[in-house]
Order: sequence, then C-alpha cells, then structure tokens
Amino acid sequence: MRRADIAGTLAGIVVAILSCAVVAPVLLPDVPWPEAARDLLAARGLGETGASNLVSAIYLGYRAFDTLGETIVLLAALAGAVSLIGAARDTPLHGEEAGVAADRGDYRGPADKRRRLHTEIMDSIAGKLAPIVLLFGAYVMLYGHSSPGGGFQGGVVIASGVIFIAIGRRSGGIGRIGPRLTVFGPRALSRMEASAFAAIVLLSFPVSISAFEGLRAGASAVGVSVPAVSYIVALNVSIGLKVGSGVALMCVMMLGGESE
Amino acid sequence: MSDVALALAPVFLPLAGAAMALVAKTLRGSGPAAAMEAAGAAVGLVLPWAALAVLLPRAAGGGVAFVVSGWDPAIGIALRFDGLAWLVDALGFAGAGAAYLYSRGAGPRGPLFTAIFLIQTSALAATASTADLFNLFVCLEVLGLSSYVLVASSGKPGAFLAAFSYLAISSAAMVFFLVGLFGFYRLTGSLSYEGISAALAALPDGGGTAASLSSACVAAAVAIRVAVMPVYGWLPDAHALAPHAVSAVLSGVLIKTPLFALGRLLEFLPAGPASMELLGAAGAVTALAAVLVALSQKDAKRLLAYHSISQIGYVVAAWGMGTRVGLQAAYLHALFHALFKGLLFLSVGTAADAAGGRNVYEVRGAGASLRRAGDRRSITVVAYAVGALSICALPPFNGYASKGFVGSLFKGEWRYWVLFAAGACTIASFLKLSMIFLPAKEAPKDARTAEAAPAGAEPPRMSVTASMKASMILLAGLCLATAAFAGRIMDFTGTMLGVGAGAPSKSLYAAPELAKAGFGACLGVALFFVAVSKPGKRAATLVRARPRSFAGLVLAFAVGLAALGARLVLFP
Repeated sequence: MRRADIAGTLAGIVVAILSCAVVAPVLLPDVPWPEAARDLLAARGLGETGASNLVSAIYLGYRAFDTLGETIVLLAALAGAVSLIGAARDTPLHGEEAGVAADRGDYRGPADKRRRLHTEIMDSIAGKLAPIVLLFGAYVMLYGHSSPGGGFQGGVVIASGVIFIAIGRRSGGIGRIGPRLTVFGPRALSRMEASAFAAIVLLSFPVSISAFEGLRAGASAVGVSVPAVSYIVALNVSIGLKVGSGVALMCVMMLGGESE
Repeated sequence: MSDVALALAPVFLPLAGAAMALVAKTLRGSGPAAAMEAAGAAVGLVLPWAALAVLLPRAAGGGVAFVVSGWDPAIGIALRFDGLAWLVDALGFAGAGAAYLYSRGAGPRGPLFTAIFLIQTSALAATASTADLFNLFVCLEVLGLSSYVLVASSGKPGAFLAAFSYLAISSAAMVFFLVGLFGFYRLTGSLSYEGISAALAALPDGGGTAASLSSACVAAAVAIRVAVMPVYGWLPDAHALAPHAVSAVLSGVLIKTPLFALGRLLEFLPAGPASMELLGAAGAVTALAAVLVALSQKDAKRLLAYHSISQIGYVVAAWGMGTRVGLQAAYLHALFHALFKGLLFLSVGTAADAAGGRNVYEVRGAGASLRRAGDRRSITVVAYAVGALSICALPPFNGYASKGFVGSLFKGEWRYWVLFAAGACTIASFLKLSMIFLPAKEAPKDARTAEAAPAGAEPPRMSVTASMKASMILLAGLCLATAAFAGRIMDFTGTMLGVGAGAPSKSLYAAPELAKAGFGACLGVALFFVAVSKPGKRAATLVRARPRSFAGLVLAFAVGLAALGARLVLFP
C-alpha cells in the first residue's frame, strides 16, 4: 500500500469512530417515545384533511409547505441533470478521440449506444407495455389520498411509461404510438413540467387554500358537495405531472431524443 | 391580503417568477420568451421589495408568528416573520438583485438559469423565516441543490468537480442534520422550535446527552454551509469557479442565511449558548487563518473566496456571543460584506475577463484592458476601489463601521487582537490584488510572443455591457450610502432586532479608534511588502501547495462534529 492509501484508511477509521460516537447516543436514547403528535394525528388527521390515508394527510396536508420544497429540490436536481447531459454531449467520451467522433458525423454522445440496444423485441414489448404503465401511473397518482402512492410515486411510474413510448417508437420500431406524434416529445414534456410546477406553486400559496375552502362553502350552499379531499387530489395530480414530465424529460434526453 | 399571506410573499413571489421563467423556456419565438423571462425576474426580484415595504411596520413591531395554512401548531409548520427575517430578506434580495442584473450582461443567461436563480432566492427567504426543524432541512436542501447547479453553470473546467465536491460534503453533512432532527423528534415528538424547547424543558435532565449531541449534529451540518473553520474546504473552489454573478450571491448572501437560521434555532435549545460560543471562537480563528491563506493566493477569484471565509469569520464571531447586540453586529457586517464582496467579485471578475487572466502575479494593466472592452469611464476600476477600501475597513467606508462594531464587542479579549491582525492582513492582500491594475510592463522581450500579440492592438476579449456597469454602480452606490448612513442603519437594525440604543456609532470615529485603524493600515502595507518579497512568495507557494482533498474535508467535518459534541456533553 502507498503511504497516501494508509493515511486515507486511517482517516476513514477516525471518521467512522468519531461519527459513530456522536450518532449512537442520539439514535439510542432511553426515554419513552413521545406520543402527543402521534395521538393527535390518529385522532384528527383523516378528518381534518379529508384524506383516507395518514401519509397523504401529513405530506399534502399538514406539511404541504415542506412537500413544495421537496418538489423544488427535485426540479433543481432535474434541471442540473439536464444541463449536465447537455454538457456531456459537447464533450467526447473519455478515451475517444474528438476527431474520430467528428468523422463519424452523427456522433451524439452516450446516446450512440442506442443502436446496440435497439432490437425488435425491445421495440414491440416497450410499445405494448407503455399504455398499461401509463394507466397504472395515473391510478397511483389519482388514488394517492386513499391508498399507498401519490404524486411522487405515480409521477415516476408515468415517466417510465413515457420512456417505454420513447423506446418503442424509434424509427424502424413498431411502437404503438406513431413516430410523428410529439405529445411526448421534449418540448411538450418541458411545457408540461413548467405548467405543473406553476400549478403546484399556485396551489400551495395559503391564499389559494382559503380560496378553495371558500369555493367549497359556496358550492355546498348551492347544493353541490365538493369533498375536502379534492385539494389533496389536485396537489397529487400536479406533483405527479411535474415529477413524471421532469423525470421523463431527463430520460428522453439521455436516450438522445432531444432533437425531435 | 392578510399578514400571513404577506409574510409568505417573499418566498412565493420568486417561486412564481421561477415558474414563469420555466414557462418562458417552452415558448416558441424568442420575443415572447424573453419578455416572459424578464417578467418572471421582475416578479421574483422586484415585487418582493413591495411586500417587504408593507411588512416593515409589522416586522419592527415584533413580527408575525404563524403556522402555515393554520394547522395545529403541534403538527404544522411554524414560521416567524420578525425583524431578523425582514433584515435577512432585505440582504438576500439586495445581493441577488444586483447579481442577477450583472448576469444579464455577463451570463450565464437563459430561462433555466433564471428559474434556478429565483428558486435559490426563494429558498433564502424561506430559510430566513423558518421556525421548524424539518422545514429548515428542506430549505437548506433547496438552497444547496440550486447552488450546486448554479456553480456548475459556468462550465469552466473544474466547476463540475467543485460543484460535485460541494454537493457531496453538504449531502453528507445533511445526513447528520437528519440524525439530529431524528434525535429531537425522538425526544420531544415535536418539530417546531418552540415545541422542542418546551418538551426538552419537561424532560428530566433537559434531554441529556441525546439532546446535546442532536444539537451538535444540527449545528455542525449548518456550519458546513457557513464555511467556518475547519469545514470551509469546499468553498474556495466553488466560489472561484462559479460564474461571477453566482459567486457574488454565494459569498454575499448564501453563506450567511443558514447562520442566522441556525441562531434562531439555537436560541431555543439548552445547548444553544455553548454551541454558539464554540462556533464563535472558531469564527474568530477563521477570520485570521483564512486571510493568511488568502494572502498567499495567486488566482484573483480564489483570493476573494478565501476573503469570504475570513469575513464570515467576523460575522460568526459576533454572532457567537449569543446576545442581541452580537446578532446586530453580525448582521451589520453580513450586510456590508454582501454589498462590498458582491461588488468585488463582479469588478474583479470583469477585470480578469477583460485582461484574459486571473493570476495576480502576472496580470497587469487591467484598467487599460477594461477600457478596450468598452468601459471607457473606468467604472469597474472605481467599483473595485470602493469595494477594496470598504473591505479594508478604512474610514469612512462601511467596512470600518461594521468591523469596528464587531471589534468593540471584544474589547480586551484575545479575539479583539485576532480580528485586528486579520484586518491588517486584509489590507495587505488587497494591495496584492490591486496589482492587477498596475500599468502593464513593457512589451515582452521575447520576439515571438511580441509578434503574436502586439501590445494595444489585440481585440477585446469581452465587452463590459450596460447591465454589468449598472449592477456595479448599484452596488458601489449602496456601499457608499451605507457608509454615509452607517449610524442610521445601526439604529434601524437595533430597532428591528430589539436592541436598545448602545451601538457605538459615535465612538467609532473617536481619535484612538482612528489611530488604531491607521496603525493597522501601516501594518498591512508592511505585510504587503513582505508578501511580495522573494521569501514571502516562497512561503505563499508553500501555503498553496498544502494538500487539499475531499477526504481531508470529511475528516475535518468529523473532527469538528466530535469536538462540538464533546464540548456540549462534557462541559454542559
């Protein structure tokens, strides 16, 4: 072993010991679990928010402001990933001569791998699976208030459906969705992401929550009952569309489909 | 609009602006897209000032404390828009506004940059007013993630690695933050500061070791963001390699907001005063150590980055006193530093771009290069002069007022002399940085280079545009205005933070203080000549060559965390 390696190993051991010494007493305290918040949630969580599962009641009800923050974290991370993909495309792969890439003319970064991945089996299966996956994603997103799932999970499933479409509809493939259809193209996806983000910001602003309550009261005055949970459903759908379009956009770019 | 909605406006307006910028990205045609993006920037950076103006009387009168959406305080997210939040918001929007204006001229441009920039601004405002531990975590994550993206957006070689190392160390630290958060939740079942404080008081020994170590985890994780010694190692690369506008925000605003947010939390914790004291002592050491490293740098922006660490040391030292006056002094220096350091990053960045290099030993005649680049009235040079005189704390510039205020808190302590020495080194290193404005030497003797680049005839490498000039004029104006009205600003911040009169606005200009400043300046000049002498240069090379590694940063974090934990557990 080189000296630097030994020093690094020793430092690693020191770090592990020190951090364990600090963390262990925090993780293993001998006090009884606090119960007040738990009991409060159990007693009032479902009634106050209208959700039929407590997880949704917490993250889209009581802590919706935090969820807004987490959505933004995802947005920023995706934006960073997309710009990294863009930067990576401008740089030749490691060990590859820039001149060779230029000679080939059609070099498009890592996306070139697709020729090897592009098989008939892939095309037909991906194309057929896509609608089913999209439907399932929509279900997970729409029923997040009553069953496990919700916007984040549903959005990721939707994104995988879009990826299936993107794989299945390659030129020469026999995808279910025609190659000319650009509903799931990068521009449409980023448009959907932007509007879903705008919707989330709008929905989370406290004024719109009280406006929503006012709307419900007004509706029930004329005999139409709007369930309290519809706010959570609306938030779930916006988050789902935002996450779905964002993740899908990133993956479609990774596949090299940004030029359509 | 209700007070609660208004108090959230500084958070939501930049978010709305970011949404508009994202929509702009998808519009066809450059005209509407540019208009939409500009509108988004205006909504995100200008409108919040209106909200702040309306909120001023409420903030001065004790502030608004509320739970978002009016849920039960036991489960909901508590926020507190008080004088401190108002002041930190004002600092954030001033720094971000000027930097954004500069980025319109110098780049990076584009709706995606605007969106991420506005998201960062929004997170700054949210961090300033949060009174909930998990919400603080989310705010720090948003702040962090947007700044990694912004650092990488310069596309310079090394910027990706700098952003990645910043990401890796802060994410690792955030794990400890979460552990601390779990510790508090496990003990108290509450996430709001008030709830944690009340429940800890009800526990037999105030939570004991678990509570102390949880405080240490949270404080150490935030200390990484503030870049206090010993956990500052990520900052020089990230700030030096980011685009100039982003550097100005990162160093002017982004490293301070988490500090004030942490102070809000520590006020409520039994282990708070001890943590602040230790961090404050670390801050005083940081002020001197970082400036010594700065003095040895040859890259202009890296030199400035080390100065950010040094200046944040002053802020942390004053903040660490844990008193309202200490907080006032810390804020005042944070505000003035945001203005003059923002100005320095922008002017030095512009000068370095125009001169085509950042090596302070080599670049000469930056003023002439700037004139070739379209800055005929030498606005950049004047802006640099204002910033440099301010950071050197020469009377009557604003740095003199705030550094004098910080120093007056430590009269007769070791910290006073540490900060005094740091001040002298600051003067020396800015003399060194100013060498880039010295007139160019004679044309190089090497015939080949002389032929390739005939002096005076080379085309300008970039042009100093109107928005870049406007941004520098704005910041320089603010520096001079805050210097002129330093006394008023002290009184104003005193009112906002609930400190009575007692800020030393008059005594700062007494003869002994001025004499001390003069002595410091002489010392600085002497030190400058030592630094640029042969042995000085050799020492600088040695300092620069010391190994800096990611592993070292992790080790520093673990040691800092353990030291803080030991201090809190063993000497409660």
